[in-house]
Amino acid sequence: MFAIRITAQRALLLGLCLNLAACQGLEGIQVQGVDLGKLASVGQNLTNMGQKSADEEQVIGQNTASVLLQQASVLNNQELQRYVNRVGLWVAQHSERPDLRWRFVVLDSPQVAAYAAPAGYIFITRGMLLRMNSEAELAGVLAHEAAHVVQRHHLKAIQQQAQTGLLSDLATLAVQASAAKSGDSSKTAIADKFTRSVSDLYARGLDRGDEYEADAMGAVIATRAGYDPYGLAGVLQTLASTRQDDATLVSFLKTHPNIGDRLQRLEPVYQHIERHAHGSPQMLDMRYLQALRAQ
Amino acid sequence: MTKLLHTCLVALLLTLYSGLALSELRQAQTVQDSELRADPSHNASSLGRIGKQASVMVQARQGGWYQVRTSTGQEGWLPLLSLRFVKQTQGSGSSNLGNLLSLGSKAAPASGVATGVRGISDEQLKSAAGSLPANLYDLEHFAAQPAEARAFAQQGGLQSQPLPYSRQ
Repeated sequence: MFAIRITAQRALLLGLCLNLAACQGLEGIQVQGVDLGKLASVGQNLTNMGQKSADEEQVIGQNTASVLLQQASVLNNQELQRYVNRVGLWVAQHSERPDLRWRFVVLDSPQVAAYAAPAGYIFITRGMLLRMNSEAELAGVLAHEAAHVVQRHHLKAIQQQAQTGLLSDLATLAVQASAAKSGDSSKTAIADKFTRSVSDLYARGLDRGDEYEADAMGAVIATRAGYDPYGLAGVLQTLASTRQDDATLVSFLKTHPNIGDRLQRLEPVYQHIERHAHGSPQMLDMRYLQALRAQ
Repeated sequence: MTKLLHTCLVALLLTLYSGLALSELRQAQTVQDSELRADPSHNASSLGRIGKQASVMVQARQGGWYQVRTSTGQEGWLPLLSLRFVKQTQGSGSSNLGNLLSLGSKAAPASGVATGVRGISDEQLKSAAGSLPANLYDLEHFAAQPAEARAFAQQGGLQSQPLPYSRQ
């Protein structure tokens, strides 16, 4: 329901922009003191800018995902991949960006990790899946990652890391990086800049503030999708109980804020959810278990 | 028809299954003073007050509540966020695994000793036929369509609801 409402609002906005853009030749015409010509060209620019930056984000996202995939491998289990994509898409449709090309990937790694790339690419390792109890927990983690995409956390951070002022400059870098990968050696140095920026960011992790924000948004997004709101907190509880020197957890702990702090900051969020959410939230632990057992 | 009936039955079972028993009893500690409740609700009658840093055994979870047994043998429910699990004494991973995202080196292959919380081993989950060569084309192959996601949600009894973010 929520997703539909958002889409309707967007359609309205887009329609307004298109209508204004369609009103050519309005220069100088004023209605109640408003210059329609100017308003029309603003509408045109808004439409173009929105589309342009969405395209740029898509190019940057694709190339970011590409860099990350070079350092990982994909789990060869079609059933499980499809399952995670269904859960993920359903969750993402309850975010503010339901119409992105959301893609979810289970990586074949024992490490505990989940991360997002711009434009809707979300990765989760089999090591992370193993430590979860239910579909609601999976939904909580995927919703946290979707929130990073909604807020463009990685996009902004890569932009900062690569020191490109404009989004279009970063998109150009990303395109050059992919051209260099396919053999054009003259662009290697430029390509390195993009690849290095991406790799540095994912090794270091996002700012703490971005993580807290994604937690707060993720718990709400998963609840909107009909899941037990406590999925995210449940996963964090489990990870907090794992030995902190566990080798599969080292990278997660390095790239994220202290789990106790995260749980504490989630407390007012859950109070808010308890006050405003209704219906019968689902955990779907049996369905989750079945999906993990499928080969 | 039989298939439809089967799907409905599975959906019903999944819907009815609301409590979650943990795969094993786990020791936890309270991080704040809390009322021990007779049922998983703030409105349920209080069975007494549990102080900070009290040790309890967690038996099950329901929504934002854990069913616990206290050191004096009392049973009841505590808010999920009032507890932290005691760290396991044995790690579940092997040592010296490469950092997943460390540059220039791929993650070391799993040694297969990790066991998940639900008793599924890493060995069971890892690719029997090896990993897939990773490129963006593969990802398109697994992608879900909106209609598919909707049907899948319906099967699980998932119902959308509008909910604003909390302002902090």
